[in-house]
Amino acid sequence: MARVLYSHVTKHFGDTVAVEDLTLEVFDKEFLVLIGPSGCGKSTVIRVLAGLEKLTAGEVYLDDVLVNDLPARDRDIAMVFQSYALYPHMSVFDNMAFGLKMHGVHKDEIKRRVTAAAETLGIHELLKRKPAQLSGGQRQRVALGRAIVREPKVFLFDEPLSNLDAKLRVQTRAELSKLHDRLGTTFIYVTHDQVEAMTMATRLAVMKDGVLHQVGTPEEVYFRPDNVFVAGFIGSPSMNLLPGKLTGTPEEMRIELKGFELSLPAERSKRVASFAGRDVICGIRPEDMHDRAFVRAEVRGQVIQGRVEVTEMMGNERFLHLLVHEQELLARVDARTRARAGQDVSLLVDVDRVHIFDAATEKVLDKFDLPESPAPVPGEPVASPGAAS
Amino acid sequence: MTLPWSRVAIYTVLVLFALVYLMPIYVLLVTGLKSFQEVRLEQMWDLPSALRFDSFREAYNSLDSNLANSFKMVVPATIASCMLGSINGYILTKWRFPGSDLIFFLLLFGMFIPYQSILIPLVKTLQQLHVYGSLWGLVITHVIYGIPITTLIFRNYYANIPTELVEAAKIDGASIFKIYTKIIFPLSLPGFVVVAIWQFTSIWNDFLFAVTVTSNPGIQPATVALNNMAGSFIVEWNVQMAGALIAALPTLIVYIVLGRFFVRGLMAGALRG
Amino acid sequence: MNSSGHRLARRLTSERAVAIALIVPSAVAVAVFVYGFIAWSAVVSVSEWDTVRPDYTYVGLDNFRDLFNNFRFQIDIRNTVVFTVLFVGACLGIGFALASLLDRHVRGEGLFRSIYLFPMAVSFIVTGVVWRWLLAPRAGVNILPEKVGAGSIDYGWYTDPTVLYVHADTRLGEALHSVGLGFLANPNYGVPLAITSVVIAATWQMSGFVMVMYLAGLRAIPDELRDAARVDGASEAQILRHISVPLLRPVTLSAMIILGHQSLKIFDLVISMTRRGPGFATDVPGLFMYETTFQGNHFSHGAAVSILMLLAVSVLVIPYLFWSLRREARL
Ligand SMILES: Nc1ncnc2c1ncn2[C@@H]1O[C@H](COP(=O)(O)OP(=O)(O)OP(=O)(O)O)[C@@H](O)[C@H]1O
Ligand SMILES: [Mg+2]
Repeated sequence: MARVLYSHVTKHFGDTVAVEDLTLEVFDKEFLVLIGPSGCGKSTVIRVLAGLEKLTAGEVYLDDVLVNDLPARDRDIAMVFQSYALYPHMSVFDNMAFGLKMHGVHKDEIKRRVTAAAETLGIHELLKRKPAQLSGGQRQRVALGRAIVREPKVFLFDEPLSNLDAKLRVQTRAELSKLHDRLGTTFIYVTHDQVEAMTMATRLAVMKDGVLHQVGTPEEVYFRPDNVFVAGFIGSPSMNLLPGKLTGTPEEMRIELKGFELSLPAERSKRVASFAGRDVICGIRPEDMHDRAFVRAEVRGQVIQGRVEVTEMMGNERFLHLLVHEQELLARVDARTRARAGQDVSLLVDVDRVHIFDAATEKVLDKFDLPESPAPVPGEPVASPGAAS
Repeated sequence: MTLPWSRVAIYTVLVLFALVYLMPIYVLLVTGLKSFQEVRLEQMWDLPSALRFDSFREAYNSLDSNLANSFKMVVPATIASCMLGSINGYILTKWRFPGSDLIFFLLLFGMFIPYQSILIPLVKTLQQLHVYGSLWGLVITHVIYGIPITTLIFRNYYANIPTELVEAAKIDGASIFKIYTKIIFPLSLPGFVVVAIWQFTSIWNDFLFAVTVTSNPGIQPATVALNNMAGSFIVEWNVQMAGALIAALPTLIVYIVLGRFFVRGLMAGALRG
Repeated sequence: MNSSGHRLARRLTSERAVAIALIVPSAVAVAVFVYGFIAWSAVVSVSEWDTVRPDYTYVGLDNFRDLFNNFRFQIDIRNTVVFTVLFVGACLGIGFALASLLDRHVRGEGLFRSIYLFPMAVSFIVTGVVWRWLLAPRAGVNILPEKVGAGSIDYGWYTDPTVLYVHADTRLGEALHSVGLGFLANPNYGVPLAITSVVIAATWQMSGFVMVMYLAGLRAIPDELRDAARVDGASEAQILRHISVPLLRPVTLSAMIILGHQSLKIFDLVISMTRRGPGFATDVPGLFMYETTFQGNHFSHGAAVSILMLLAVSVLVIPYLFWSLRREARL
């Protein structure tokens, strides 16, 4: 059982605000991924939990115990660093054993645990080597092993895969997920890599400039972004965001965009009718624009015209860089499309999946009716600043 | 995570040590600034009742020609050392040839030898060259025995200038001299400052060469004169202290003004630990 | 290869000749003034030249034998060992302590560093003159407690002739005797108290240098390593012991070599501060060599001392030079 609660946590470094009023609950056995652009305070969030940074304000609870003033060594937390931070003067065995020695674990037990972890990670024949004699991937495994042998309450990872080559990263990703399932321990994982975040997370927490913008399952965050930042940040290629105005009648609302407009279906119109007259930002994911020749029948859409500037063949699909009334849009359509650079095309926009954000607050106006994903563990409702409820 | 009392402890220790390190300077100053009537050993730590420069004046009067000697020796020796070191460092980093590493090793060892082991031949040779007992003899000595350290500092400095720069110039047809004057030398200013400070300080502070190569008191540099003054029973201790401060002043000023470069020289001398 | 290529190639070879020519003056100067002169000194050390007049008659190792039978030189060896151990130990201890305190985000770090380091800029002669008065029996440090109302100290410092050694008639002395080490129960294997005064002055001068080296070494240890150790459960003291100290080993080695070779050569400080001291308690080979050669004109014996000093330094420095050059090549 390891539950973590950040309550109104603020951390300043001099004048720099690293984390601002963060409230976040991390459930037992969950794989929480913290994601956000560089410098947004992700590392600070986990370093605060590890006991490596003192809070400016707020409280951190580990299993309902306030740990603000608990030194790092008494927190029973293990951490994997981006640079791995292996002790260069110790052998792989001693690196993995160090934490256990510091906690006064008996020699035989140390040996048993280190050997077992080394077997699991396939590094048992490296135990006598020094870190300098290891490849990048092997070092990463040792760093992982050093955390595993501790059998801690919580694992913290600070971008542990960013120094690996692409192939190794994919492989290690899957292994980390398996490891999480097997250990059944709480993982908090920092990354700025979307694929890592999407593939491994049970829940995602999206941060920017020290502020938490949305917490939810990968599906929630992807399909129902709370605000413009999350919408644009999550998803690659990223969502098209166009300024517009919401007009019309409760029966038929329209988003007036530069040079064209999108009519909303009746039930959606009803929901956003109260916002008529607002300036909005309209978000369209590239995959929600379709070549009409290859579209599924049930898609309710509206046709827009544009000129293809560049096409990029991706294999199973094709990216079309479009100019629609002087606005650049990206569409991700069936690879069989006949659209080519320089031609005019008409594409079907899936109006059920268009996101509408208030231009002033940048918050979403209405949420989609996706099947509600069950919350991992029913807990107190978690207020996240920036999330529209 | 550090408790306040441990911060207090840290600062207490640091300040105590600072006081101990400054203690000699304090004594030098208050002694030098007292009148002759006030300078008694029992009152060594007391502040002067009135500022009087008696001791300084007397110390300066007996050291002034020696200070001049020191300057006359230090300035040319430092300049020559810098030039030699720069050329050597340039060749040993950018124009390496078979055996250049061996030469470097042999140079380096020269930095560590006890100079006692070359003193007798040195004195004999300088006598043969008719520069024994003259400032020029000292200048030559300091320049030659400064070659290892100046070469080392410049070599480490030039090692950080990308070799691609030199290779590009070679391809462009620049000669070894052109590359030095147009590329290396203009980038060398910090290296020259470090080496100049190093040589200035160590030549000024040298005693062994000074006392063996110059026997005539009129020619001796300040360190030898100060030592003679301190060894004589005629000179009052307060004058000795004032003399010590005067003799230390040039290098102290260099340290205070250019301390950053002084530290760099030290680290280079430590062979990048 | 075309003709311009040939020209370039020829030019490069001739440039290489120029490069070698440029380093020749320095190389020759060092070859003659360092290695030539060392050889010359070695020749003097096995010659009969014991007066003002040079006499290169070969006498084998007689001069060295004389030295090892010379009472003063025996004491010099003892003094050098004692001085080296105390001086290197004190500098490493104080330098490391100051560096690890300064490394803990101290305000005014630059000022503290400058204060600890400034004695390095001063000559040993100045240091000697000043500390001679600071440690004078009826002045300086001894009367400092009076200023705060405590009594004065009555300690002789460098005038104290006491030599601490194991007396043969004590329990320890008898124990030594019984294991065949009875010869150690002798003042020649003791610690002359007077030399600690010289150690204090030398440490005042050099410990700042060690502090700077250690500080640079500590700064080169990535913060993440210490963080990792903290998360692994190490206390600050354990981090120091298990992480910082082992990683600073190369710095410690460098500092030991530099300080060690200096203490083998020490001369200026002793001549200006204490000279021979009571019962040669602060005499050192450097001083012995100087007096023997330039005041006593016993050139061959002086040369022999200098050659022994050189050997001692070489044993220390040559392996170190190989080690550090190899390390540098690996980087
Ligand atoms: N020790 C420190 N001293 C001063 N400022 C700091 C310190 N640590 C972090 N910061 C600042 O706090 C902010 C958040 O830093 P943090 O390391 O948490 O970002 P991050 O999201 O992990 O970024 P990255 O993805 O680049 O690792 C940054 O602006 C950073 O400059
Ligand atoms: Mg980070």
